[in-house]
Amino acid sequence: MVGGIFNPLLNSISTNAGWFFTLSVNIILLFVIYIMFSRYGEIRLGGDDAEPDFSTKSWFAMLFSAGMGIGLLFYGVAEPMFHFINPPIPVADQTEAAHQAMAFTFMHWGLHSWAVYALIALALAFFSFNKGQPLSIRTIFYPLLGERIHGAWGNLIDILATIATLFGVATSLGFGVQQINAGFSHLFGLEQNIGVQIVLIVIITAIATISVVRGLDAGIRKLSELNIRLAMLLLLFVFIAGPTMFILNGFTENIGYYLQKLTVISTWNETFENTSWQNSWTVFYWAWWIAWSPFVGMFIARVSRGRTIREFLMGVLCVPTLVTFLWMTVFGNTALFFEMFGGGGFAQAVTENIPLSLFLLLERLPLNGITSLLGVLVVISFFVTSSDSGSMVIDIITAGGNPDPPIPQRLFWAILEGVVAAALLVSGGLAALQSAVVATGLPFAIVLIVLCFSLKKGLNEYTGVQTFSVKAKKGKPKRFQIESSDIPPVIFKKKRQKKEDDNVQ
Amino acid sequence: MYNNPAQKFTGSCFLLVRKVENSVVFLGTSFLVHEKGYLLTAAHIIAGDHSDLMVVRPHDPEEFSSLSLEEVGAVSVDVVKTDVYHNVAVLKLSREFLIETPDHLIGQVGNLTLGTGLVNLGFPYGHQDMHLLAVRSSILSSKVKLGNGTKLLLFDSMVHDGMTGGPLVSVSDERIVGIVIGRFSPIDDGGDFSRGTNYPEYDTSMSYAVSIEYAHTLLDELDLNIS
Repeated sequence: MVGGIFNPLLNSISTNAGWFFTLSVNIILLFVIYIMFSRYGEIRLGGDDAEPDFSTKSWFAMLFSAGMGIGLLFYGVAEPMFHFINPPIPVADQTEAAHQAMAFTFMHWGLHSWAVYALIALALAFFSFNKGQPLSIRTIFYPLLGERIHGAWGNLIDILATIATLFGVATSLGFGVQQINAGFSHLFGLEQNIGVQIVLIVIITAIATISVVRGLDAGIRKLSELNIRLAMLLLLFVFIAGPTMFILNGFTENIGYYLQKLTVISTWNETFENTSWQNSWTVFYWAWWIAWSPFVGMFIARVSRGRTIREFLMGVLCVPTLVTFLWMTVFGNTALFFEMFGGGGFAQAVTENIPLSLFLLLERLPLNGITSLLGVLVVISFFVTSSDSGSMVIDIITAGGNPDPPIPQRLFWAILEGVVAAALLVSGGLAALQSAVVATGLPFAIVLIVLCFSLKKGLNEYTGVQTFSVKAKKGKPKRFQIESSDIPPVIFKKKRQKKEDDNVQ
Repeated sequence: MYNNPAQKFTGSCFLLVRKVENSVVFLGTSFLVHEKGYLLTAAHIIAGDHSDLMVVRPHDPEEFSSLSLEEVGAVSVDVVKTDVYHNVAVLKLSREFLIETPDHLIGQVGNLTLGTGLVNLGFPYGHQDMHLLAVRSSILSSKVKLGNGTKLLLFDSMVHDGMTGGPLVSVSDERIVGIVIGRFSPIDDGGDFSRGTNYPEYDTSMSYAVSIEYAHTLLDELDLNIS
């Protein structure tokens, strides 16, 4: 019943503000590329003398892991299928439909999303490492707001960042739990319904909460590393057991088609088609990435000290994007292969049940039982690590940049994330999740555009000549005639005449 | 090449004066290093008398202005700490000001190589009733150590007496590497280096500054964090 309000809400925001999301992410991508090739690219995060905290190999591995998440598992199979059977822009044949399906998928998961993360990560890293500000969203607006960041404006920015992150993470958790439910349904015949999903949210949030309270950071880190390995194992399995040559050919071709069509599809607003396809796809994705940006941005910032801005932006734009493209090609092209050359019917099955899509694909490959279980484990693991680290990022923002916030506060946010995810699922399912993220992403998109100006100003002041500024607080100095005097002799005392000479007062 | 470090530090320089009845008399140069109003200068120009010290802001150095100031607005400073062994003094403005300082102020003397480009700033003709702020360029000519272990930086320009107490800045990283003391006298025992005397007849076109590390130590002892 309540769910009925979400589709109109999503449609209303997307229809009226979709153009703004499209414009915003393109501005951000162009801005990031401009900074990368500008003279600011030579600035080293942490100062000229800073050494990278992590080796380039480790840093790449961390960026690589940042590129992974629940979304890839949820949409990796489903999205290309949706675009293939329902091409956003009319096409002549199914080859073009397949090209377009992969190009739109790449666009949604590619350079634009990582430009959004790179922007906020760069701002956090620069203002924190080079300007000595706390790691908080409000402080990156200092060049524009000055001391007002400590007042109402700063509070507003942090509140918007907190809400965006909360709903961004809750949306991912909502997707995750739907997929876990689908996995259990596929494996054990468990019913796919809201009740089961709520129970799953409670159990997994409890695990994440325990890790928050007990400070199992090391455990979570190990789980996260294991998780990436399991995900890569799944990727490798599908690559080998699936249509390997089709995937290898497709990888390069998909990237080429994406780059060729990038300006067209990334600026497309359905103006002349007068359709609303983007509302539940492109607009949702842009809002989702924007909502996730404080979360991913803070992680990237924390591991990137010692890199030059050029190195940083190239790494953040290219490494996770390529990982995502690889994932999407392996899963998306395999799905396309089944649909185009495997007798058909696959796309229909996938689009009828998105959370089940991964398992439908694995069903067509050998060792289905094992790989489906592996898939569920990876989603659960992503769920726990996302909930844990998502609540940590919100904690840091709400604690004014304190990297070690009090435990009750972490507890509060960890539980609230689960509650929000559950509430959204109960009240409207997928539409509710999408509506929430679009609604909370919109104001934060405005914040990100303003951030471009703030970062540019901050970088400009940093690279320009800094000067001393001395202003009297009140009153004027006393006036005197000034006269010359004798020149005093130079004295270096031969022996240290302690205390009475050294310390006055 | 020289304009960036010069521009960075012109706003830090103050004329150091002493109040005598209704007038102030010029002593030398001092320069700001901390947003809480801490300044540095050479200890010997205070000559052990810590009373009635004041600082005066010069005209805007980027504008054309008269050579001499008729009347000046002076603010009292307190001597917070001195190290006469190394000829460094830390002063503090007695009134509160809203001060912003640039990043990266203090340099590393150990990294300096001979030939490094330097600028020094100060008021060269303050003792002659002329109060213009001037910037001089030079290169690092030599690194020497006094009998008492004090590290000095010799540079190839002839400073005038009013520049004593001013900052010596490395051009490459725009950080302060020394506090200017005076002109070099090439006499057997090191002249004013060691005896505290200055023979004008022995003045050369070389000058010297004391390493900034001694000032850094004093500032550290005051718990002042300076990058």
